[in-house]
Amino acid sequence: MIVQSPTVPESQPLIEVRHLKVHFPVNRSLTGRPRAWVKAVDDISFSIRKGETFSLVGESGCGKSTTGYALLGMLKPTAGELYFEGRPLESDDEEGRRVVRRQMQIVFQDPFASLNPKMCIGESIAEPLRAAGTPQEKIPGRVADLLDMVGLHRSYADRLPNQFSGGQRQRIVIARALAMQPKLIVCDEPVSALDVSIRSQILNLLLKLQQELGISYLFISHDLSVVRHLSDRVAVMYLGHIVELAETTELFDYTVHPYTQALFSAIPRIDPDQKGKRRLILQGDLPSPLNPPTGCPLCTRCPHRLPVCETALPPMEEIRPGHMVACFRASEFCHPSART
Amino acid sequence: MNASSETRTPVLEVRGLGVRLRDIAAVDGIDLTLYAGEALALVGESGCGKSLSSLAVMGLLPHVASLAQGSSIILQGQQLAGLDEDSYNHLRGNRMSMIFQEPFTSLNPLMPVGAQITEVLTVHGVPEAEARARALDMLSKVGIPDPAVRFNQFPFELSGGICQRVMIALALVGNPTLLIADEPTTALDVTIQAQILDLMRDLMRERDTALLLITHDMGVVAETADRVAVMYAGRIVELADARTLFTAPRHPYTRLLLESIPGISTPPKTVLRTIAGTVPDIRDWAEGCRFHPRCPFASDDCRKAAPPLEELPLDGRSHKVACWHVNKTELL
Repeated sequence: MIVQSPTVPESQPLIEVRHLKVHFPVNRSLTGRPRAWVKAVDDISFSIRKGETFSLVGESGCGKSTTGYALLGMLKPTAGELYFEGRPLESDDEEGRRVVRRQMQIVFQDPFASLNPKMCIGESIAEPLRAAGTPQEKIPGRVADLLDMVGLHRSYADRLPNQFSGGQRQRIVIARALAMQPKLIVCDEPVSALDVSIRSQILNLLLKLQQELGISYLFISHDLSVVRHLSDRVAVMYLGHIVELAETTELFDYTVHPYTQALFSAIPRIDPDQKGKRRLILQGDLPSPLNPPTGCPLCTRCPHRLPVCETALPPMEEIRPGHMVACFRASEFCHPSART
Repeated sequence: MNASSETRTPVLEVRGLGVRLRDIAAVDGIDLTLYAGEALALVGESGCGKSLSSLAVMGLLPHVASLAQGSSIILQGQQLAGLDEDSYNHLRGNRMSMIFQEPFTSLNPLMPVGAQITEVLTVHGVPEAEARARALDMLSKVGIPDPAVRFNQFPFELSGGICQRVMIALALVGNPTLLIADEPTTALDVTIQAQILDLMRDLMRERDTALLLITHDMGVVAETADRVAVMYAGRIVELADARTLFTAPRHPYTRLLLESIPGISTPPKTVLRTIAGTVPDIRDWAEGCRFHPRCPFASDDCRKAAPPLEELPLDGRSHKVACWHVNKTELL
């Protein structure tokens, strides 16, 4: 059942993000002029290949969801370019944008908040079909097929969301996302709100759908065991920056950036032998994104910082094939970690 | 549980604890024993009764819930079941205390944090000046930078991690023998969670406090607990030391639950083990063994009667499982 990740990068990625910035104005003056900006996403670049799962990981406020929303056009980027199959997303006319955006869908964290409680689930799934102009007579059959695909009985279509459990609701949300036959689904913490015994059902469903339909996922999560299981490549974000990006096994075996190391080491492991073992723990709190450190975003908490880290932003550099790191001391940390 | 703890008197002894939500038994006769310096984790999914059990021990059950007849909660020899509010007030903050999941909603937003910690001591008769000094000392013990400044700040001025440190200071300043922590790190980011778990572990060890940890996160359990009780639908289904529970679980629910979590050794992108069905609503709890509708071993016995939580014949270590088919579960 192992899906091989594309080892040779295809000539054209499905999604390309170049120097994306999303800044939010805060603390406006009386005239409405912003006095400060929260740099939620600050100059990040990555691409998503066809059929791959690309994960963004990081702690709350690091900008991972904002990146997903900007990609879907739910937020307007402050700067940067977004490409879908080589076509720029922003420059298209309104109609062109609608057509492209149909091919990108989203599954949110909370399945209880993502469904209209007064609309039967068949209607919820049919809504995007109608909006896209599917003929009325074809809709019931298509809804039934979609329910089949996510493992729910066809007869459930006229039930209300309150008759379903959290896991079933997440299946319904996935069915709705599939209605437009998307090429990309942004999965924003899709299993975090579910009970542990239900999570693996949804993860299996996401894997099955990817195999059958060749969908790409932008997977946003803070749960590293899930990310490791599902992803082809992973980008680690901190305070609006990508600090490290690599293929999943590469990243977990050769963890380079001090933040990635601390993040991985902080994850509680189900391994009684590790109990009480001292971990690499970052001191202090996440700095406020309103007032981020100058230089490297991690410099206030980094155990390895140099004077240069406080003044200059380290550039992203490829230290091993496909393995990008933004750290001035990356070459010193580039050794097989003891974590595997 | 090691041999030396058998001879000590337990800090907390719970026998046949039941909590009724109107006419439903939401917690159905659980037994727990907790010794000084020991961390016992109560794990389970939402609605399994783990939080209600801990609130029952603290005497903090919501109005819709009541303690079932025959419940016995003994804290250092004193029976707590049926105790009036005044007597409970003497115990809480003093001999036992609790940390909640949400630090922001658990702190008084209109009171500086230092005053909140001081209050814990003054209500138990410590003179104001001494209480303030101990509160300040506690703030620095929980690793808060600039404790003198933080002392006079309000919760809204502090981050989530700092607020949870304040909660820990609040819970430990009275030197309780029992600390109950209900999902203490669930609302925190992982790097902050690691700081808080380490802090709790150090303080408990230093003071020999007994910890009852309520959580659904198996990783947190593995890193923190000495013993683990797994709850499903209001009952304890398995109770063992942490190593045994994670390396040789015997209840089908525990086994399947642990296998459904992708681990280091799980090959990526492979199909994960699942547990059929969904977590049952309290109104739909099954007769007999409550896990039987989702269990691969379910038989007529399981539908008819609830299996008792029984000791497995193992040398030395205690390992209790409630399953009629406990001899088959290793086949899973």
